[in-house]
Formats: sequence, C-alpha cells, structure tokens
Amino acid sequence: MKTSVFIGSLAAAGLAAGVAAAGTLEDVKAKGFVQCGVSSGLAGFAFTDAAGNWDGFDVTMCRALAAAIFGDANAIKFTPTTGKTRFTALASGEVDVLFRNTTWTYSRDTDLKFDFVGVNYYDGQGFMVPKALGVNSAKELDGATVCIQTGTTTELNLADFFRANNIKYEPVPIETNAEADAKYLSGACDVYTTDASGLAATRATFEKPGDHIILPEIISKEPLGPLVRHGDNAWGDVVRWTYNALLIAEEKGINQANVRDLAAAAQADPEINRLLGTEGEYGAMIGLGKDWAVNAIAAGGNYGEIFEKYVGVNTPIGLARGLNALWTQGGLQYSPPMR
Amino acid sequence: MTVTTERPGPVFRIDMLWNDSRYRSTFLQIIALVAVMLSVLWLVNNVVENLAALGKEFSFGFMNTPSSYDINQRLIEYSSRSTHSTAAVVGMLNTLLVAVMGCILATVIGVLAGVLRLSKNWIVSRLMTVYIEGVRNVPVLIQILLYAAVFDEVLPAPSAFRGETPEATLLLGSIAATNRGFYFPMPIFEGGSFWVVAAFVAAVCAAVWFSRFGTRRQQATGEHLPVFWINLGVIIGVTLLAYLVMGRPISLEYPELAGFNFKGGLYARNSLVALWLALSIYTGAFIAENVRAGIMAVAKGQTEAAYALGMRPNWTMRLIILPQALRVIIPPLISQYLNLTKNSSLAIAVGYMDVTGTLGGITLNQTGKEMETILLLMVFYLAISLSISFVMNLYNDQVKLIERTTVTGGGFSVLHLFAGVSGKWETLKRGDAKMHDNYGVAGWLNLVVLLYGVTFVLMLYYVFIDDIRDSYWTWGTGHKLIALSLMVLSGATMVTCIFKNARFVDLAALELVVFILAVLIGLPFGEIAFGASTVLVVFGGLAARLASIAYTVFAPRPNVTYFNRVRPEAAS
Repeated sequence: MKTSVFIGSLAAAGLAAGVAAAGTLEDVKAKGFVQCGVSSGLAGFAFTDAAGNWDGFDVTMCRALAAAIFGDANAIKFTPTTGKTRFTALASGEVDVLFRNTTWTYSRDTDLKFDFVGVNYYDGQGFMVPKALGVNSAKELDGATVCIQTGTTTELNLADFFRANNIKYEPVPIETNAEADAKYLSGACDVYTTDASGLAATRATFEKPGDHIILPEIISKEPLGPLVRHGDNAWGDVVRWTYNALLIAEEKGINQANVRDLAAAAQADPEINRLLGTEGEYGAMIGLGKDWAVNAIAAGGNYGEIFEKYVGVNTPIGLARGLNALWTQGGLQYSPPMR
Repeated sequence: MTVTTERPGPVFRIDMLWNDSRYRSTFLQIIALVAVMLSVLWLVNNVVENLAALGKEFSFGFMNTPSSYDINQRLIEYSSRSTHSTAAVVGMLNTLLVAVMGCILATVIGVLAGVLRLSKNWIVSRLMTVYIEGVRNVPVLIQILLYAAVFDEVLPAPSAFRGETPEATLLLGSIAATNRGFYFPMPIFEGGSFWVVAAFVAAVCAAVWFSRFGTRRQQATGEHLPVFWINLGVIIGVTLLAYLVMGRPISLEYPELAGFNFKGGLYARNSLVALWLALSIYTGAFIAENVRAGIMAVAKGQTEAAYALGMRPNWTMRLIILPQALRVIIPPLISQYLNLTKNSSLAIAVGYMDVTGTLGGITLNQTGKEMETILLLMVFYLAISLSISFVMNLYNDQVKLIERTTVTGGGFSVLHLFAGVSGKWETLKRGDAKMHDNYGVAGWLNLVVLLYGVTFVLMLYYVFIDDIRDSYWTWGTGHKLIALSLMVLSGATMVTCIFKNARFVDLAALELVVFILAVLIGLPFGEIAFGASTVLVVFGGLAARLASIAYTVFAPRPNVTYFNRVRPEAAS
C-alpha cells in the first residue's frame, strides 16, 4: 500500500519536473530576464566586446525582445551555443529562444519540435578559398580539403553538392567558427564553407582579407531566423511580433532616434499608432505592456539600423542588403500588417 | 517419551525491525533497495514525461534513413546515401581503430618508460620521471589539441611540395608529411601475390612450430637453439623466394601530388595521428607507473638469485622479473586500456570522426534523437569496455598465481556434468602442469578457435556491416536478440578458447543452445555464410560445435589445460 502511495507521489514529482513546455512568457517574466541562445562567436552577428558584453546583429535583436518584455534591453542573459549544442539547449529549456544563424528547415520545424518565428537573414551557403589557389568556381574543387562546422545544414548541402557534381572532397569537421578559422588560415583546409554571411564575417577578421575570395556559387537556401520550442504559441507570438515590429519600424521610418518622439503623441499614420501603443490595446494582446514596440525599437533601432550597424556595407563585413532589403525595395523582408 | 518443546521466542513486534540486530540489516537493505528502485523509476518516468511533453516519439526508425553527410575516414564502404546505422558503424570502427592502435603504443611506451624509470642511469631515470609526471598531470584534451595544432602549424601544406624547387620534400623519398596528414607508400597486390602471402603465412606457421620444438628440446636436453634468428631467416627467405619466383607481384604505390592534395599511398589523417599519439603518450605515462610498481613488487631476492645463477641483466628482467611483475601489472593495466578507449571520445576536438562524432554528433544533431543516440552510444562504450575487461581478465587468469581450487574457480560448470566420465578436473599450478604428460599444445584446438572465430566474424558482418539487405533496425525483436547473442557468445567462446580457459566449455554449451535457437527461428545461415547451402551450414555447424565440446572435454590432450587448468590423467 505504502509503495503505491510512494509511486503516486513520485509520478506527481515526475510531472512537476517536466520541461517548461507551456508558459515560457510567464516563466521569463517571473525570473526577470530572457535567456537567449547565441552563436559562440561570429563577427558581426554575435561577439563579445572589449568589456565582455555581448553585441552583434543577432544579439541586438534578442535585446529588443528583452526590451519589449521588460522595457530593459539588459534584462537578458546569453548562452553561447555551438552548432551541435544549440538544439539540445533550446529543447531542454536551458534557453528561451535561439537567435543563432539557424537555418529554417522542414525537419527542424516539425520533427525536432521547434517553431521558426521569422527569417532575420536570408542567406545561402558559399565557399571561401585563398586567392593563391587560383580557383574560380566551386566545381573546380575536386579533391579539395573542406572545413565545415559539424551539426549544421552546410554539412548536408556540401555532401549533396559534391555528389550532384560528381566530384570528391575531404571533409574536416570542426566544432566552432574560431577553430575553423585557425584550420583554414594554417592551410590545413583548402576551402572553408558556411553561410555566405558567415564567410564574409569570418573574412573580415583576417589579417589580410584581400587574400581570400568567396566563390560565386551559392549552393543552398539558408533562411536564418530565431526559433522557439514548438507548442508554446504565446511565447512564439511575442518573439515573432517583436521581430516584425523592427521591420514595420523600418518600413514606416521609425528609428532609434525618433521612436520616443513618435510615441509621445498619436501620429497621422494609424499603423504607427497601433505599433507604438498610442492607439488600441495591442500590447495586451500578446501579454506585454502598451509600449512594448517602442522599447524594442529603442533598444537597438529598426531592422535596417541594426543591419547597417553590424554587418552592412560600411562595416568591415560589408554585406549588401540584397535579399534582406524590405519588400518595398525589392527584398524579401516583409512583415504582416499591424492591425 | 517426553516431548521437548522449544521455549517460544519473543513475539514479533514491528519495532524489532530497527531494534533487533537479527532483522535490522535485512530491513535496512530492503529500504535501500526500494529507494534505489524508486529513484530509477523516477528517472524513467521523468524521461517519459519529458519526451511526451516535447511531443517526441521514442524510436530507432531514423537509423534506417539516409545519413546525408560525408565522413572522411571510413574503413567500410560509406557515402552520404548510406543509412545512419552505417554511419554509426563507420564511427565505431574508427573508435576501435584508434583504441587498438592506442593500447598497443601505450603499452610499448609504458613498459619502456616504466623499466627505464628504474634505471641506474641518473639522466635516463630522471628524464622518465619528467615525462611521467609532466604528461600524467596535463589534461589529455589539451594534449590532443597540442599535437593537432603542432601538425597544423608546423608541417607544410601539400602545395609546398609543388614546383621546380619545392619548399618541402618527401621524407626518404616516399613519405609525405603534410598539415593534412601523412602519406605512406602502399603495397599493391597484383595477380600471383596470393602465393606470396600464402608462403608468408606458411613460413610463420613453420616458425611457430619450430619455436615450440625449440622450447621442448631445451626442456628435454637443456640445449638452446638460436630459434629467433633461424625463424627470421625462414620467414624472410621463404617469402622473398616466393616473391621472386612469382615475378614480383607486389609493388609499392607512392603518394603523388595531384590537385589540392596527395593521391595514392596510405593516408593517415592528422586527426588520427594526433589523437593516437596524444592518447598513447598520456596513457603510457600511467602504464609506466603500473609497470614500475609491478617490478618493485617482485622481491629483490629474485634478481639476486638470477644474478647468482649468472644471468645477464636483460635476461633477468625478461625471464625472471617481468613474468612475476605481470600479475601485479595486469589488473591496473585493464583500467588503463578502458580509460584510453573512453578518452578516445574526445576525438571530435580534432575532427576525428569516431562514434561520438558520427552517431553522437552529426546523427544526433541532424535527427534530433538525443535520447536514442546517446543510449546507443552508452551501450556501445559499455560493450567495448566489458569486452576489454573480459579479455584482460582471461589473460590475468593465465598469469596470476594459481591456487588449488576447483576447475572453474567455483560455481556451476558444464565440465562437472562430465566428471563421471572424464575424471574430476582440478586446477594445477603452472609448475605442476609442466611436469604433466598432458602438457603441450595440440593443433586441434586451433580448429576450435577457427570455428568460433569464423562464426563471430560472419555474425559481426551480418549484424553490423552487411547493409545490402534490410538493416538490423528493421528486424523483429527475436531475430535481433538471437543474432546479437549468437555474435556475442561466439566471440566470447573464441576468446576463452584462445586463452585456454576452462570456462570455454560453458560458453560453448551456451553458444550451442543459441545456435539451435537461431536455426529454429530461421536465421538465414546460408546467406550469412556468403551463399553457402543452408543445410550444410546448419548441420556442419552443429556437428562442429558438438565435436569441439567433446574434444575439449574428453580428448587425451585437451588443451584447455595449457596454462592453469589441468585434468589429472585418468590413470592417476
């Protein structure tokens, strides 16, 4: 008899020990900060500055999320993850959201039980080689030694690309971007392959970036975006609309400098009013305050500002907007209407 | 008649469970057992709840889907279209490769360093102290990274070998040391090379026979034959003769620069070499200490006695000290081998694709099946560790001091069933065995080893490697279990037979039972034996097994007796 009571209470304990599958927003509010999974270090996207603070394209978007929830862009903690550890970190509840150059794929969205809430960078896989090799096309890479980050989609694309073109290669699996740098620069690999943005970011950190070229072939679609655990729709909505707010802000000309002024009083454009909380109760619909979007935008600026600050053409990384321009400027960045 | 009744004891009360020493220990043990079982139950329950909460299904079906990734070092055929289970096997073989290479090199380094640390030469012994204390106290991961970094940075890129006046040249004109790996000349076997290999094998067999002949002769007459030099001459001479007669059918393929890398020759990647060296040198330092302890455990009188008999120092070490030291060295050596094997899972640090890299790395990541892959990994490492322990324990049984106990060290043995017919089995000391007429090696036992060896290899191939048919993960549970147990048991039987341990008979009997079960369940034995007739394989296998068991139990020189377990002669 006693044993069955034991087992019963045990089962209850087991239930209590379950992962935080639902109510992430409440959990986050209760603990007072967002736990954000980021890359273990990729110039422009996620890096630590001289003072040891996290900064970068992905990091700032995550800070915008913290600002939207708490009104404080520093109410956030970062967990650096590798290509291998990121999914386990998210699935186990170690992080609340993953902002880490992660490609949206079918199986990750479905089988791995995650939800991608948007695409903050449209990318594709490319190859970087030293100029001295005299290679002009990825199809000339027969027999080359290729460094890849293990546990990524690039690993799979690479296998498919070389197989489809019937050429051979020698894969060298690497855990982090920093290790891959070292291998590539010491000449232990002929080629380094990852998302084109990552290649540009990596090349920018080299002593002589001009000695390396990125080959013209882009062999895959890599829509990179933030993701959350599947099944917690309320939390997914918060992350999705914080990101969309940054897009709408750019579209409507709201930026870090003028957002507070625009939010001070109702404007002529009702969509701006809805976004900035001067009209309706839109914040409450996702469980946040009235000024959630104002705080998000004030944290690091709108999408365009963040892009130009960290990875744009005027940075050492020098990425053009390209596919990541707003839809009004021929790009793919497009937010559903705020109403 | 008087009836004596026992005085009734005190009535059992509940508090006696913890107050009465008769019940207390049992009661506490039961509580501990329940607590352990409850915590296990809690863990399992937690897993089930969490998997359900995540909406994940627990299944191994993914092992049968294409892996879609490439692996650089593969010992069996593999492409990105092969299944995840093949990728796992490729990784397992890579783990085993580096573990076996590592154990061998670590033993060599360890024995040398351990003996040299006891050297009377001050410089040599201090140097070894520095090596052992230095290497032992630095984490092995850092050492692995160090060797890999040195290879990456110091060795030239393949392009340095190009041009009229290259910056780097091949070592000895045939070995290319690059920052990607080492390329060695590789022998190419052409037509007719079969006879050369056959001649080599025959020469080795002859050499083994001759060295045994030499030992017997020395024991009988005291006359020492120069066995080593004669054998060396025979092996080299016969092989060389066959090689020349067949018109030099074996040639060497040299590495050549082609495109980005060298092509041709034998390619040892830097990841493998760095991992191998780091693990061997690290573990070697621990083994050196074991060896030193073992040698120091042998009484000094032994050395003095040997010197008094006029033995040279190196003979004393080889013939007197080391054999006695072994029984102290072996048990800790087992755990060093286990450590090395488990440490090899650090391979991913240098990009070596061991099983942690394939199954526990890429497969886990691409399929998101953490639970399943990690469970499989744990089972794999457990199986490897237990196998190493098993083999090393058998070896320990051979070298340890043997006491006069029952034949299999107590417990049930099939051998006892035949005691009425074959005579009682007893364990004799090694010295006793030498005095025994039955002492010696009968060639028939090699056939027994061969039988179980062939079964083991075929089953291994059938279960893990043969991907052409449906793979292991699609079989029924009975089929899986029987095939696996037949594989494990035939392997275990082979090993016990190699070590001539009397437990062989028990394992062989168990293996026979599983073999019969496998026949009943319809394991495709013809297919397993590469298309032989099923009837032939089944009845041949049965007959061979029965014959093996009968031979080891009843034959006049049943050589489960070689080292420590001897059946007394029927007459005595």
